Amino acid sequence: MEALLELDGRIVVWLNGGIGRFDVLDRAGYLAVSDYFVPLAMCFWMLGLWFFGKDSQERGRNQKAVLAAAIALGFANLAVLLLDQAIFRGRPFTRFDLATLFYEPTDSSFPANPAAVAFAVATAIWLGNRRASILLFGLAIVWCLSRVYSGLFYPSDILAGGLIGAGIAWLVTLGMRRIEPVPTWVLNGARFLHLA
Amino acid sequence: MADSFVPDYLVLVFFASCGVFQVAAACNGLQGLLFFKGRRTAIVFGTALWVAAFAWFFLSEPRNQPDTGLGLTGNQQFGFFFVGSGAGLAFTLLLSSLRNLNLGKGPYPIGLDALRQSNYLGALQGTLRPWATFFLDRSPTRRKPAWSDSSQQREDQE
Repeated sequence: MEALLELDGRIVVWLNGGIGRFDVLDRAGYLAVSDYFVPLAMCFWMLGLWFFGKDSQERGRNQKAVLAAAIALGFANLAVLLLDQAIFRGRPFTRFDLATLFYEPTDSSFPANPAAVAFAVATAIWLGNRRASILLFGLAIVWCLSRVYSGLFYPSDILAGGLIGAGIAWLVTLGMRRIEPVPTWVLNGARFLHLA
Repeated sequence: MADSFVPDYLVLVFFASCGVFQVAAACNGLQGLLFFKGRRTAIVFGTALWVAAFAWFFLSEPRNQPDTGLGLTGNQQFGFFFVGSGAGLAFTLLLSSLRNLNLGKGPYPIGLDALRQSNYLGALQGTLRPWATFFLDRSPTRRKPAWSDSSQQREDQE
């Protein structure tokens, strides 16, 4: 365990060493690490996906995946919030002398909230539409990598957050299938108003 | 500098969502949702709107701020996204309905597919009118209108 935690720290220090070397990378990192860029890009992708599908059946599947993703996002956020009350792990920048592209958060590093939220959304969409989830997984990976690069999280925080998010997305999707026809009723209601 | 990002965030979400609706509608042939006649024009306009909204938000001020200061918490982001994109949707439905006043006449398919041949307000009116007639009509022979794909299919089979 000690060796794993040591490795965790070494990866952060090694990645963080890149800050200040390449201006373009720092600028891209500043955008990617933001609280807004990746979450908004993911939300807009889901918003667009609501309208996509060659027929109403395919569109319906996409819409159920979007509903599952929105619910999973909320539950992933809640799970991390609850875990934060029980577990506290200091941020890497408090242990090592690191350069950062972000403000210095004071809450627990473990598990990583961005990883939980991003992977919850990407996995929920993946369970409904594999092709549409590729970009979401890409965005999730970029967001998480930039957070480690910036010295905000250890890789194990990201791994734990990602697993929590993906697990919650799977449970939510399973739950939505179990409570059928309720999701179909919701979509039929929106269809009646020509919104789905 | 404002006290928080909320107004800026709402402006970003509003304009970017309008852009997303244009691109999604153009890619799926939902003519009734478009601000412009041409599909390609709508895609270019929607993408430009989305990129411009993001560029304005991220280039106008430093946005990496803690949520204890100017920034937004995750829950606030979630809530304001719904407000901003909802306003964007309402604006898109209204403006596209006005721009496509002459587009098609009923009967309309159920759901978004109606917007392939009609504007939104026209399609909504076309859907609600038979229901209004159904509720106002007290005769025993009155027929319940279809309200979903499955009920439509059942009626077709009958």
